[in-house]
Amino acid sequence: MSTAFRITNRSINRTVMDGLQTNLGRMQRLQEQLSSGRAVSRPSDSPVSTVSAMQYRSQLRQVEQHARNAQDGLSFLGMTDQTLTGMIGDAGRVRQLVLAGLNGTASGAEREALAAEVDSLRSGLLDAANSKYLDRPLFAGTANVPTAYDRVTGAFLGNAGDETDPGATGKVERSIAPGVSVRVNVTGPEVFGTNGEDLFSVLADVSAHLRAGDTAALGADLSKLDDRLLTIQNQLAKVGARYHQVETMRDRAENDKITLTHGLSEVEDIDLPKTIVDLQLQEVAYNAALSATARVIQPSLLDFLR
Amino acid sequence: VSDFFGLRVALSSLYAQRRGLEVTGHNVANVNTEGYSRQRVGLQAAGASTVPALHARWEGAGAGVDVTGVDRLRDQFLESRALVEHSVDSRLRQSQQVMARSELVFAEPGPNGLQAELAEFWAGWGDIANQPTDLAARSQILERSKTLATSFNRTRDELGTLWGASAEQLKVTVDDVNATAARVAELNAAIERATKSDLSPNDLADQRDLLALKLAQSVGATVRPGEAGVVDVYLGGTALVRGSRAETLQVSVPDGTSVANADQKGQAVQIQWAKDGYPAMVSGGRAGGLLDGLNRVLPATRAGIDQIAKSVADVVNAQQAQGYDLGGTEGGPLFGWDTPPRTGLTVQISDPARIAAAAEPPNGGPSVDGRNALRMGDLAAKPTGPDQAYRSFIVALGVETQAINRQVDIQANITGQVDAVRDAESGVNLDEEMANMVAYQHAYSAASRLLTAVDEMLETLIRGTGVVGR
Repeated sequence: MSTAFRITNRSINRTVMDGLQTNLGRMQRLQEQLSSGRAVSRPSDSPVSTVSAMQYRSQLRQVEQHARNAQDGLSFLGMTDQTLTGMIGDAGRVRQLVLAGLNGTASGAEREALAAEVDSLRSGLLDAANSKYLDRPLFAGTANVPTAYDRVTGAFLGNAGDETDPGATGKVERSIAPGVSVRVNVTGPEVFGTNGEDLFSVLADVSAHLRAGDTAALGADLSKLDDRLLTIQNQLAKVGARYHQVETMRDRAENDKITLTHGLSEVEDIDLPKTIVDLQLQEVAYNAALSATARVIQPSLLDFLR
Repeated sequence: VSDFFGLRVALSSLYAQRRGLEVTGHNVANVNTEGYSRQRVGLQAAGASTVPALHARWEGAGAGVDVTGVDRLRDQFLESRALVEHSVDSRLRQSQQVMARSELVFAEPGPNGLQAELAEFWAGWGDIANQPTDLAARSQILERSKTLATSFNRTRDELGTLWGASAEQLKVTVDDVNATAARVAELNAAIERATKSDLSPNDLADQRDLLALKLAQSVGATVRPGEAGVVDVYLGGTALVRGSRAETLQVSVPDGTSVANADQKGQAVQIQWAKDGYPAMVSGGRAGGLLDGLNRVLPATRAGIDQIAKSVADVVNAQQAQGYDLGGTEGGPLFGWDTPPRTGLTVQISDPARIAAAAEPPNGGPSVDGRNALRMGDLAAKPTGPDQAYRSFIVALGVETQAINRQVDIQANITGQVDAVRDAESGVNLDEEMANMVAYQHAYSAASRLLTAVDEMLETLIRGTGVVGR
């Protein structure tokens, strides 16, 4: 206040009270921050920080969901990978049996035994192709069916997907990053061959030709079987590549979670040591103001008159 | 010159100093009285007679001291300035209160705000996309939809409650203004009587001026001094108090219906003159802040949140319509929107199977595809989506509140300075009063001594003369 004024007791009082009020107001603000642990508790505290905090919170929830989606996709892909790897082993065994059958010296009983083993392997492979992930057939695409292949006829029941056609049905996707979704399934026809020419038909043919001792047909079957095996291996490689991609994205999402949580805390939470120090400084200022007030208000002419 | 004239001079001084002491005492007594202006005794040297008369020529000194009156030390310019500043100050503080409360309704930023609920809602679609046949994930979305709808409606209702409370506060303010205006008119009458009968109306005037300041703080009234110490109080050019007559105000809406439902009918609340129903020009004071809140801030905030709720319903329903539900039929609307005060945001689906998770049309049988749900989840990050709109809305609210907070701080400074200058002019300084007290005391003692001296002189004259040679 300018000293040009006449100073009165009320104006001293007003100035002193204003000063104390301002000090108290600052202390209250700091105490509110300390007790709530939050630097921004309403939009007007800092509109910019508010919008950042809201964005962080929204993104954090998205990233958490993406990590969950990726984890689910990894399970789906992992299961597909395991199933296909096992099936390649079994199909390799069939190949050996076919080679044994091609050997012209095999007797009828021996060929019958080979055929029986092929049958049992086929049934096992069919079971594997009907594997489920969370009660959903791995290779049935998006069709709502109990199994991917008919257990008796071996006919494909699901819907086929097509890698090259973005609008094709039968694709199962997981959203793993903003705007990025990755296909996590392969359908039966893609991996085992189209209906009638698929792995299971080939195996049925092998079994029949073994029993009949038709080595010429068996020779043709062998090359078909090799084709199917090659397709499965190709698809397995693709599944592996996708597994790697989803895993990378999941790790990135996990990292983002940490970054975003940190960012949110940076924006929203108080800097504890700083706030405590600020509060202490404010207390010192308040005490100083109080003692100054006591000194200013106390003396008056009254003290010096008789 | 009379021989006894010396006694008259001493006596006038005794009277004057005593009056001075009284006034000093009055000042000291009122050092902490709100609205009190310090008073001074007006003293004037009583001059000698300047009119020569036959055989009578004044040869003495002055005739002592006259008390001309007791003056109120007050600067009218500062007082009118104070009215204006206090009016602005009250309006801003009231607006600040309304803004601060509407800001708290949204609980942003925080884990309980609408933003968190929106994020939760969008994320839930990811679970459906992962497991389209899982009814638990679908039920979860229905529950989250209900929570979201309830939150939007509750936010809106809370703004409505705030509106109602502000309308109530406006009524109370106007009632208070009417009572204060009536009291100002009464005091005006009393002051006029006192002035005309040559009594000191100082303390009544202090009371009246304090009430006028209250009127400025309530409705932004201004004051014009009138005859005989009376003031007229004006509200935008029309007299609220003229002399001893006060008008009354009322809160109303243009179509004359109840104020309580005005916001729902889009009617602006106004303050009217009770005598003719014309709207009063109230732009300052608490009432000005309340009217701004009732007619601008709160309706705009509510319209903003309604728009976002509607946008949520629109984008979700549009995405629903592009997909197919578990039964293979096209997705129906998940949210219903009926402009409040009707139902607001509602959830239209109760069967979880009706959520359109599949992007593929049914092919031979319903699809267990989850890609429509996946796209729904992606809406969270849509640049033109409701989340973005909501964030902009909250920022706008924050910026406006911040602006008004700053204005309040600035105005508080200005008002404080004007008040300080007024205090400097009109306030009581105890040291000064103490000094005056000592001065009057000494003067009183000196006047008594004068009386004694004249007395002794006269005694000498009366008893000591005519006894020569006795």
